[in-house]
Order: sequence, then structure tokens, then C-alpha cells
Amino acid sequence: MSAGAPDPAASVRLAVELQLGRETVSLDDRLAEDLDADSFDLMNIAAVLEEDHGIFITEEAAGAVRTVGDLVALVTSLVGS
Amino acid sequence: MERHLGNIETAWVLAGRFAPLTVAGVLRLGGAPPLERVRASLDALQQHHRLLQARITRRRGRYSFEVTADVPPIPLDVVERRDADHWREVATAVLNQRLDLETGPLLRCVYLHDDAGTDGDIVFAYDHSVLDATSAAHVYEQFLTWCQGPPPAAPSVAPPLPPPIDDLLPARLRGRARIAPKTAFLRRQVADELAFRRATRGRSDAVRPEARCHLVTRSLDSTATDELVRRARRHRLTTNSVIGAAMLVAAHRHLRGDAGRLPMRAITFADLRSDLEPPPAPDVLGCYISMMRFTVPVGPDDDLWTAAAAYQAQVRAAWEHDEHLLSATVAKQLVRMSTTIKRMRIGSTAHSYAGGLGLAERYGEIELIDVHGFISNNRVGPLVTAFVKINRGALSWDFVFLDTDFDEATAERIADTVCDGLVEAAA
Repeated sequence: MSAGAPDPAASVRLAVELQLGRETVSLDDRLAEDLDADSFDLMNIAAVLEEDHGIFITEEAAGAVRTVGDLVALVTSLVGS
Repeated sequence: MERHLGNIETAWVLAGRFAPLTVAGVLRLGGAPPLERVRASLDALQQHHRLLQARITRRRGRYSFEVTADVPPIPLDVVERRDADHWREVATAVLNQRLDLETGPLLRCVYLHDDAGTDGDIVFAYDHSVLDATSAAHVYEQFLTWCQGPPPAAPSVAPPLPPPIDDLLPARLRGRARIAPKTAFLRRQVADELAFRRATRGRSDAVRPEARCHLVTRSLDSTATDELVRRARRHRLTTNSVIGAAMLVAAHRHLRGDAGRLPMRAITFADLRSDLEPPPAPDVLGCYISMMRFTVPVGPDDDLWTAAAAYQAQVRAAWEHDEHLLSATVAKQLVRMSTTIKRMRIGSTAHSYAGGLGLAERYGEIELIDVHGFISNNRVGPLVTAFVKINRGALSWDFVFLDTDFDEATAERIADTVCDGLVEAAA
């Protein structure tokens, strides 16, 4: 990660918290079942993370994400690739 | 073992009494498994899933899943594979036939293979009341995994029949709490219906006599798919909204010609699993979806992004009113009304978007080349219908048209218009 680039874990948490109006989220939280994220929320979260990190999250990769931790792992892998 | 069908499960059965309503799931395989492995894998599937041991019975006006010892093994028909497109003929036949729900089981299988044993195609025929796209993907995953070698032993205690949506609604929609939002939902539906009829007087889509389904497939390559998704996100639009809009714009162009801006009816299917309490796990077979219908104004010169924004606004508003859940509680009544009145089509377009199915490209020696899903249409159904999914990074459509609505050449042109519009918008 280059100096000044956002930390994936922090930016995922922030994107999720802001989009879903939550004060705090944990890595184990399931986006849909625990945090009530719908497909519009997930699309907005993906769009924000793509803009923040200059990455692209494919539809299949996005569909495989279940928890906040899954999303952190996905963004970390894309930033590092 | 027995349980009553839920509202949307009953809706599928009632619609199937009006006209054949069968789902054809196709697995295109490289490295075809031996016949005995296919048979053993089907047997294991049936042992592991109660719904695949069931039939549907009707007593005192109510339908039920009934598991009894006399439900036969999953039928397996073996057909010599003539060529790489032979599966299309078999899948088309499946769409135009009723399953024998009263005898069961509610899943059948056709195996197309040749003597060389190189490639093969599996065509599953099933009733929608037992499998949605999530369940179908799980069944395909288990089937292909168990085709590689000896399947697992039968479970010592088979799981119970999975509960219907009606028993899993969130607390805010249970019992008396459901009355107010359901009344508001029905009021909005009636107002929308009246407004739609006023605006389209004399232009409603004709109901044709008995018709046969025929299928058309299309796909974008993975580069075009990624570019489309990327552009959609920049517009803050879901892929589902963009697909739905592309089908509406194409339908307007072919059906309405230069009639100008008109309200059009679009149907999309919502996956309810994560909204239910408790959410059914992906390995629980069942039909946990609902049908949502919207009216979207479409003009001949609409650009795709504008149409998609209008489409998404409708979906979003419905979602915020819990209509994705409420529509699952009135599906039976809507089907009964439309198949009794038989005067108008329920929509211009309908699509179900499943995203990535999560299936592997290889299962041991077996390569999964492609997956398809087709659902029967009928004379009160929409004119342009498709199951849409992503496989190996590529967005693809499994269209079903009726031969009384469009000849084959016109159906191919409509399918091309949908895909060309998306490619153009993504460029």
C-alpha cells in the first residue's frame, strides 16, 4: 500500500457504516442478514470503494461477498494485485 | 410427512394448471460422466433433500407437499446426443410439457451423451415450487461433485421439509401487523392498474390462443460485461436495473414502433432469502423469491441510462414499501385473477437476474462449459422473458418467446437489440 492510499479495512468499514447508517460494524457482520443491506446498498458500497482505491469489483466477486470481513479481504486483494 | 404449500408455491401450481410451467436447467459438460455415476448422483440428491422426495397433492382445496415411500426415484432419460445443439430441442420440449406433480418427484433429468463419451449435456426439468436459482445452483454443485466418484451415504436423519416464505416473514409483516402495509400495497397496485389502463387504452398486448415456447440464447463477452458493470456503478445503477431497462427499451422498439412515450409493464424477481427470519441457508432447497411488477414510461428515443434510472426508481420505491415481501403473500390471488380473466398480458417484459451462480469451471474430470435456465411462458405471460446470469465472467440471457407472438427471426432480433443496446451503452 502506497503512502496516502486509504487503508482497505478502514475504508470498507467507513463505506459500510455510512451507506447503512450504522455507528459501527464488525468483520463478522453479514451485510444482508445482519446489517439489512439490499442490492442498492451493495452497489453503492462497491462504487465508493472502486473510486477510493481505483479498483474494479466484478459482479461475481461482489456476489460472493457475505460479510464485512469478506469485503475487506476482497478489496485488499484487489489493491495489492 | 406433509406440509401445506405457501402462497407463492401455490401460485406456481395454479399457473401450471393453466398452461405448462416447467423450469429447464441445462448443464453443458465436457468430459461426460459415466451413466452409472449420473444415476448414483441423482439418487444421492433425492436422499439428501426432502423436497426431491415429494409430490404435490390437493385435499379440500389446499395443495401440499407430501413425502411418501411410493414417490419414484428421480427419472433419468438417456438420449443419444446428436450434436452440440441437441440440448436446445430437449429443453424446448421440457418447457412445453407439464410435470406430473401428483406422482412426483418434482425433478426429472435427461442425459444427452454420445458413444465417444467426450461431451454431454444434462437437462433438468423441475417445478419452480421446489427450486429457485440459489437452490438450483446448489443442486447442480452437489450433482456434479457427486458425479466424480462414489456419492456420500444417505443421511441417517433426513432434514425436514423446508418452511414456506409465509412462515419466515419478518416480524413487522406477521399476523395483524401485515394488514396495514398489505392494504396499502394492494391500494397502490389498483391505482397503478387503473392508471396503466387509462394510458394504454386500445394498445394492450394481445392475448393469443395456445402457444408454444421457443428459446433463444445470447451473451456478452467478459470484457463487455465488466465494462457494463463498471459504467452502471458510475451511474449508481444496479446491473439488474440496467438489464431490465434494456429489455424494456428493446420491447418498446419492436412492439410499439413509433407510438411515442408509453407506460410499459416490467416484471422482475427478487431473492428474498436474506430478508426472511431466519434467512434460509443457500443449501436449503426451496422457492424463496417473489415477483415484482412495475410500470415504467418508455419512449422510442430513450437512452439506456435514463430508462435504467427510471426503472431503478420504481424498484427502489417498491423495496422501501416492503413490496418485495408483500407480493409473495398475494401471488396466488394475482395468478388466479390473470388466468381466470385471460384478457391481458401481465407485462411486456420479465426477467430474473441471478448474478454469478458460484459454480466451479471443473469438477474433477468434468468441465462445466455453460449453464442455462429457461422458464415456460404462456399466453397471459409477458412477451419478452429471460433468465439472466453471469458464468465465467460473461453476462448471458436465456430468453423464452412464444411462437404466436414472434416468429424466430423477430425473436432473434429482439434478443440482439437487448444485447446491442447494452454493448453500446458500455462503450
